[in-house]
Amino acid sequence: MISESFTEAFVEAGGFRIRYVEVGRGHPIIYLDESGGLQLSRGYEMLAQTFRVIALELPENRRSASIEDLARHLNAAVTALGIERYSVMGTSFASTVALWMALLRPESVEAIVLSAPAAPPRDESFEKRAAELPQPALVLLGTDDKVTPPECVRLYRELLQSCHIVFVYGAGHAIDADRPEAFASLVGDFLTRKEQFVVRETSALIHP
Amino acid sequence: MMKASLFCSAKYAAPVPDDVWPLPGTYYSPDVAVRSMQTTFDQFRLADEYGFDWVTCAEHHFSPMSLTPNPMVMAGALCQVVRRAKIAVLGPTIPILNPVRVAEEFAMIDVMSNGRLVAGMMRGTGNEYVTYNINPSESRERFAEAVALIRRCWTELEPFGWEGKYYQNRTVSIWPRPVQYPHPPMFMSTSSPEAAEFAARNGIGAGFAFTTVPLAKKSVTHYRECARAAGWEPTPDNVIYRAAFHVAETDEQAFADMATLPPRVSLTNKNKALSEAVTKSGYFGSDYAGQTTRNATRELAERIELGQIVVGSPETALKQVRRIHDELGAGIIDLVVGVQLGDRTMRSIELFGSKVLPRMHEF
Repeated sequence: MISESFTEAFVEAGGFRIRYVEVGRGHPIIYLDESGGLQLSRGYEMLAQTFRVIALELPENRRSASIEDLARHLNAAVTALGIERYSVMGTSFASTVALWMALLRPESVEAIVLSAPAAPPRDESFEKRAAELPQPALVLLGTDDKVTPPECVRLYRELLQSCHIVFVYGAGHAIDADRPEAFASLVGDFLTRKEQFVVRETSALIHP
Repeated sequence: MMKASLFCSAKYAAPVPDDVWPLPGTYYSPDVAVRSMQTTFDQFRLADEYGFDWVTCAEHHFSPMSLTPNPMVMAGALCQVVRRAKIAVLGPTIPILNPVRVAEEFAMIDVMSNGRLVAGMMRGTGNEYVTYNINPSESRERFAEAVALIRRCWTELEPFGWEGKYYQNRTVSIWPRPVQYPHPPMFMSTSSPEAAEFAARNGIGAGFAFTTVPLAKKSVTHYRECARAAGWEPTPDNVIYRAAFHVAETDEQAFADMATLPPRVSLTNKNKALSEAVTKSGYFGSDYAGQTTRNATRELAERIELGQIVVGSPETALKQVRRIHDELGAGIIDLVVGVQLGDRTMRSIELFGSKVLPRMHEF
């Protein structure tokens, strides 16, 4: 279910016409889905209560194009939307594209969220840039995920300066669909407070 | 080779009302408590000297039946008292505790004992849910999640967060970590069908406590079938059966000693309102009849017949243990000190250790 504020449109960038959907208001989260589609699950809808979620459609040749080129086009699309500061988020294969977007635009990207990511590419230039990236990354993995092994997410801890792995209990590969409340609250807290999200802010007071 | 564990619950060693839970502190004497602890250590030390393979401690609250509300503290002390036997914590009541803390404490015990920890994962009896004000209807779900989190704490080398249904941690990276790899052997109570299925699916050993041999036989068969379906075959070392015990020179003496023992009433059944509320919460799962009758109050002769207690001369005790081994395929018998009778209890441990245990090891 997509809420009423959902809009679908196209953006022109670098000779490409990229379809996107947008929902919510606030700090922009550029979201790339592994399947390339624009279906937003309940988890993203909940996130859109606090953030501006923009799902960009990955072009059909996404598997043949270089990830770097793909990321460059998508960054151009974000600029064309008039957005200067944003966070990137990707699932599965699209995680590596989202990360590349951050590597190409470290001055614009505030934080990175990778949900059940594919293993990072073995690419020297990618690894070198990733090691220098100061932005914090949140890497999520469902404890019931049959696609992404935990070894995959550990690689991001080696790769990135600031990388927080969080296991989402009872979720499979589609964490946002399987545990929407947990997903939205965790990602929302991380994007709001970055590394400081390790310190609990919500009250445990029972009665005043 | 069948193994034996000595389970001394650190019972309060003075007469107090036996039909109340919780028991008021007005009945409490620190001198008796100190003496009870010393007796407990003496019994564990003796069991270790007489070749018991394991020693067992467990968690119970608000009751003179056991003075170890935190069995991790007892296990920590046992690392120094017991030099050879494995230290089985059977167990902490997982759903009412902080799982990360449980993982840390278990890891400490495994390090302090140089890899002698056996890690029980229990749901506990219904009354335990009152202790820290946890809803018993959430017990199974909390248990399943906590076990997954504990295992993750032991095996995950990178710091991690946990976004659970009942537990939430943003950064976990425990020190120390267990000696045993990938983690200490895990056991849980598998008397209910749900528990047997969970244990089988998660590669966890089966434990049967305060049940009967016929009921345990049904449950262990179910456990084995579920394990097979999950792709593994439990060995006798994966199955623990707990029974009370008392051994004397002769059957007559042993029975005379046991005559002083009042019938066992489960902690939950000591409090009617509590018992009813726990039942209403769905705590007992699908097999309500089985899970409540196994805990029923019974007389001694019936308890022996049902394999709830091992009583007699070493020869008689051996036969009773043999039956448990043969009927259940259990590789470990967890022997609860049946009655606290000072020197005669110490003698019971010596007799079992010297006359029964060596022959059990040949099974």
